[in-house]
Amino acid sequence: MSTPATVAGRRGLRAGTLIATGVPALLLSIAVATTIGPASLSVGDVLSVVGTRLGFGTTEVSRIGQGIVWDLRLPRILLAAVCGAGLSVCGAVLQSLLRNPLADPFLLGISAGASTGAVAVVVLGAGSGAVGLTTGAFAGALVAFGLVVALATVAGGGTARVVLAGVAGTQLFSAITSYVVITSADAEQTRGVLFWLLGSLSRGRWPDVALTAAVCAAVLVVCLARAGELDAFAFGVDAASTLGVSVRTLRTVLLTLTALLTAVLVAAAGAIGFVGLVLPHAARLLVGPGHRLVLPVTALLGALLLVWVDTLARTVAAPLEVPVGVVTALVGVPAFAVLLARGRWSS
Amino acid sequence: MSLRAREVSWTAAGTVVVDRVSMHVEPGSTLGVLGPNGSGKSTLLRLLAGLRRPSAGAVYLDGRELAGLGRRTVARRVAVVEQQVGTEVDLTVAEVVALGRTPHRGTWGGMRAADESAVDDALARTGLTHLARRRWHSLSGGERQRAQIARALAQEPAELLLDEPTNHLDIAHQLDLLGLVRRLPVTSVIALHDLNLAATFCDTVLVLSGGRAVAAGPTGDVLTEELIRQVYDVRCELVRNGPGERPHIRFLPR
Repeated sequence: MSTPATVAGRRGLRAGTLIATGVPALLLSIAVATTIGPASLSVGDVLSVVGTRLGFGTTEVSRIGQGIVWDLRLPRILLAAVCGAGLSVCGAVLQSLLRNPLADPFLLGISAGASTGAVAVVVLGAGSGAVGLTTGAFAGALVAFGLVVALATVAGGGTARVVLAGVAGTQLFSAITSYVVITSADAEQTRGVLFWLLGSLSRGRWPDVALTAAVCAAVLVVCLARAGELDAFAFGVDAASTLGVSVRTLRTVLLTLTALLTAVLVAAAGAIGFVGLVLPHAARLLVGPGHRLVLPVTALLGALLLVWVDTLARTVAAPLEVPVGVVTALVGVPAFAVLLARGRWSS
Repeated sequence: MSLRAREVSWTAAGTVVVDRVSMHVEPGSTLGVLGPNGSGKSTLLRLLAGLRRPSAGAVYLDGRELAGLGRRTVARRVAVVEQQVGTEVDLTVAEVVALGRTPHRGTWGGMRAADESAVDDALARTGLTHLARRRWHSLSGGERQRAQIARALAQEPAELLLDEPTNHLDIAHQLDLLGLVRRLPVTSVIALHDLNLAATFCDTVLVLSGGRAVAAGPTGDVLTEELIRQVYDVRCELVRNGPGERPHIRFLPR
């Protein structure tokens, strides 16, 4: 007879296998993706450039080749991995906290606010050049989140109010963005803004990678420490409270942290949709609902997906680039449909 | 002394839902909270669980004020089974029961041996061991209610609060469930609609009407034809021929 322990055990084993194969797969993907592009390079070249930069030996790769690997492709690909991981983790946490399977990192007005901030900088020249697009987007995201939280609090708090306030905030900031773009932007600016709104990793440089990776790692650690309490929300807020969770404190801390992470990610790469909404569900279909397993697995899936999707986005219509958010949906939706159908048959 | 409430009130949007109710329950006994719809039974249970803060008065657990204890401390002592709970999450029965270990687990800790054995024990006590791997969504109403009780037992509580746990269950399941609760070595407070179930299973009862406590004491003493007429506005015949001279109530057409 199988005891309940073996059920959790089997899922744990499965997650263990996924992580044990997923981490090498991710590293290999990053290396392979770095070789793909107009200038042809081998995995050996990539490893030798990385080795040299980290202080191990010298490389025979040309200066230009070194520049392409280290300054152009690698930071962009690493940013893709971090964005994928971060957005997925935010989505998983928000879906549990707000008890809403449709919750995603942009639900609380963050992407809309970031867009408004970025547009204000690019189109209106707010801050007169001293403020970059990234800073503008970050500031816009935090302002929007603050407004959404204030509105939710005024409306009496509670899960449903937070979601409604988020929807209202998103609509408001989208409208402001549209208004500014329609009335003030020229065609060139409109195209640039639109591209950024749909998500693009093309501006990824090492400082972006360092910042996003640090914030992402910190948020992941905090969320993992709270994994058991996130599980306790399964039967609602009151049930979580009777299981010993300080609901108000936990919700405040985790909403703020996920908002901060999302703001950092959106500022670096625009609003990349689909990942944060769908990958947590994919992770749950694979390893069950426990957050101790869901969080690392969804982070890994998100990183893998976005590395390859971004590679596709910059090569499929080369030299044109397709916004990465467009590709996440085009590739991700069929993949998710297959997973959904399989999950249903196997249960 | 187990759970005690002193003059607790709770007001929502200007309406007094619970009005200066005092109560206590003897350790190891079963207290039934009775009263018509809207009399404040569920709200009183929520105040006792610390889910709502009384607008006046206080709830005490072993003489210490509940509001001053952390949620985790309370959850290790008091478990709650709500009326009807649902979830979007695809959980197995074992995973639902394991949620009861939440207040006992450390920040990073997975399930330890003590957690596993508490879950196994809770499943065995509620007769759910063979369903441990079944999905929550595939369970019947009675099985779900039992799984929630198993989850509460996995908390290893000294006090168990149940809000109309027999709603939507057929008569056999009602008897099984209350028999199970009564056999448990815990102090129970159960909000109930069915007066005959209360008469059969509760040591003492507290009767609420319009948010106020109108009677309290041993079940056989409190339940009378006169009280039932006053509180529920129905006529009945009450005979004391149940097991241990417990009252049995036959309602008369209005």
